[in-house]
Amino acid sequence: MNLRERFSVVGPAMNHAVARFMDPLYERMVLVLTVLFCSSLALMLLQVSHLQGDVIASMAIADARVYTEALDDLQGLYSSDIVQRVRIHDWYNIYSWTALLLVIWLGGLGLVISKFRRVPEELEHRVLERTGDLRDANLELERQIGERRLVEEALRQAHLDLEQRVHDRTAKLAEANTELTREIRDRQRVEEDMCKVNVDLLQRTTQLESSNKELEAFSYSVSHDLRAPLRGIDGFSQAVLDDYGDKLDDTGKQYLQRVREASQRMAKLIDAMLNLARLIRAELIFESVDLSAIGRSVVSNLSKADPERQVEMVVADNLRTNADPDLTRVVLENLLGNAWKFSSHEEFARIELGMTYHYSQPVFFVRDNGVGFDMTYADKLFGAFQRLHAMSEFQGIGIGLATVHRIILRHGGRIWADASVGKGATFFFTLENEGGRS
Amino acid sequence: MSEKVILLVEDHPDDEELTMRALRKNNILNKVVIARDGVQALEYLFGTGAHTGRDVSEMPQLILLDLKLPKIDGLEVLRRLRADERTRFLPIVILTSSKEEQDLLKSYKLGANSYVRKPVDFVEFTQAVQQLGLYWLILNESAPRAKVR
Repeated sequence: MNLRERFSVVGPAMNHAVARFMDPLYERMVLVLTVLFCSSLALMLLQVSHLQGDVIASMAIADARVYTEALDDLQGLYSSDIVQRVRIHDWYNIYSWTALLLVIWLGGLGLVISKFRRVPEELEHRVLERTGDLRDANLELERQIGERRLVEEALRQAHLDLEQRVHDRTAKLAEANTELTREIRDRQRVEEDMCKVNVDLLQRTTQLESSNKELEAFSYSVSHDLRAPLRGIDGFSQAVLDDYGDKLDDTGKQYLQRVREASQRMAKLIDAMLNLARLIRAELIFESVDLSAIGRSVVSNLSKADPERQVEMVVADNLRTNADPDLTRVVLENLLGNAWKFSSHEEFARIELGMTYHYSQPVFFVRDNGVGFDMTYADKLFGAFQRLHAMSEFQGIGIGLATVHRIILRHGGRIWADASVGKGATFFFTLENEGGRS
Repeated sequence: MSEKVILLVEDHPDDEELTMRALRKNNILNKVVIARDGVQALEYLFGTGAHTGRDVSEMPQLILLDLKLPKIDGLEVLRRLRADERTRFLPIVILTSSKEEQDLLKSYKLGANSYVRKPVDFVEFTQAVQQLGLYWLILNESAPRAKVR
């Protein structure tokens, strides 16, 4: 409610007071007074005319008085009494009425004046009352305004708070949004990278698959086609020996025998190559493997195959790892087989399978006290068909360590050697990579 | 059936010669029919093509089947023989160069009776042929001959 509205409440009260003051009673009273005033005025005018008459009369009276006095003097007490009576009679008639009217008029006037006097009082009273009301209303209004101001202040504060909070929230949201956008971008980038990696991986898988297929086709072809001529060479050499041996001298027969040996050796090389290829293709089955048990079994087979040799074999207990058991056996067969072979010239051969630590990483080893080798050629150790010893010295086709190397690489492990000529060799290896399974 | 015939399915003349030699060395004197590819082998067995009119009730006592053959390879010959009532129970020995795992598996899956890898060493090969002859031609009792429609 504004101020104007406040006053619009006060307004009608004032109007009402005026209306009350102007009510019909007062209208009639004013009318009566007006009539009274007019009639007294008329009477006064009449009296004035009477007075004029009186003046004339008095002049005449004065004239008469002269005569009268003379008369009085003449007549005495009696005659003056008559004059007195006439005078009193006149004045009584005119002035008594006028006085009465004047009294009535004055009374009415007084009444009206008192009324008029009361009206301002009433008005004043009313005004005071209204002023009081207004003051009260004003005070109320002021109070309300004060309250409102407080409320408005509170509201304004709340609004400010709200705005601050909105601002804060907006800022936080914007920050979160930025963060989110960045995250989305990062994620997209990662996804793109992953996509690329996936595509790359797919390509490489495809390449690998195709190269695997080629390798398989190659192996198949080698397996079938390369061996057939060897059978011919060997078979017909043998046929010559069988059917025409009597026509050959010993040298001739020996040559043919060497032809046969060469072809058989080549057949072994082919088989070794095929085996190596198979190892590369073979699916690895990881499980907990007892190297100690496999080592003992291999050592036992070596001893059985060559029972005349006396070798001190030491296999440590509880050698365990996660690996493919079949391929682990191949590794140990080759490493222990090599140790057996290259320590064959020793009087007191000693072969050991154990475990040590290399940079706090458990590492298995196969050690012998055999001929060893020159570490200068260590880089040739694990190549296929590489040999560090003359064929006449030690038998072999140079595929053993290459096979071991392939198997260990496929497991994600490592192999390295330490040796010196005449002082034996040690081969260290792990089958698991550092992170666990490969 | 007066004679126990051996069907040798072999495309390589050296191998054919060496196999024949190994058989003779082991005194296996049975008649040897030679098919130089898969088609010839199937025609002989089912009396078609070049062998139209052959009495197909006469089936070989043993089939020595190479895998790598021209036209129709050994595995396909094996599959067709095992799919036909007349040849379903014929003793078939795979005699080949390969010892590839896939060849072994496929051969046994298709119903080969035996799988022998030809050794390069002729002495070993002769021994292998001797044992094959001894087993499949003498020791082994074939399934009763399938009825011919």
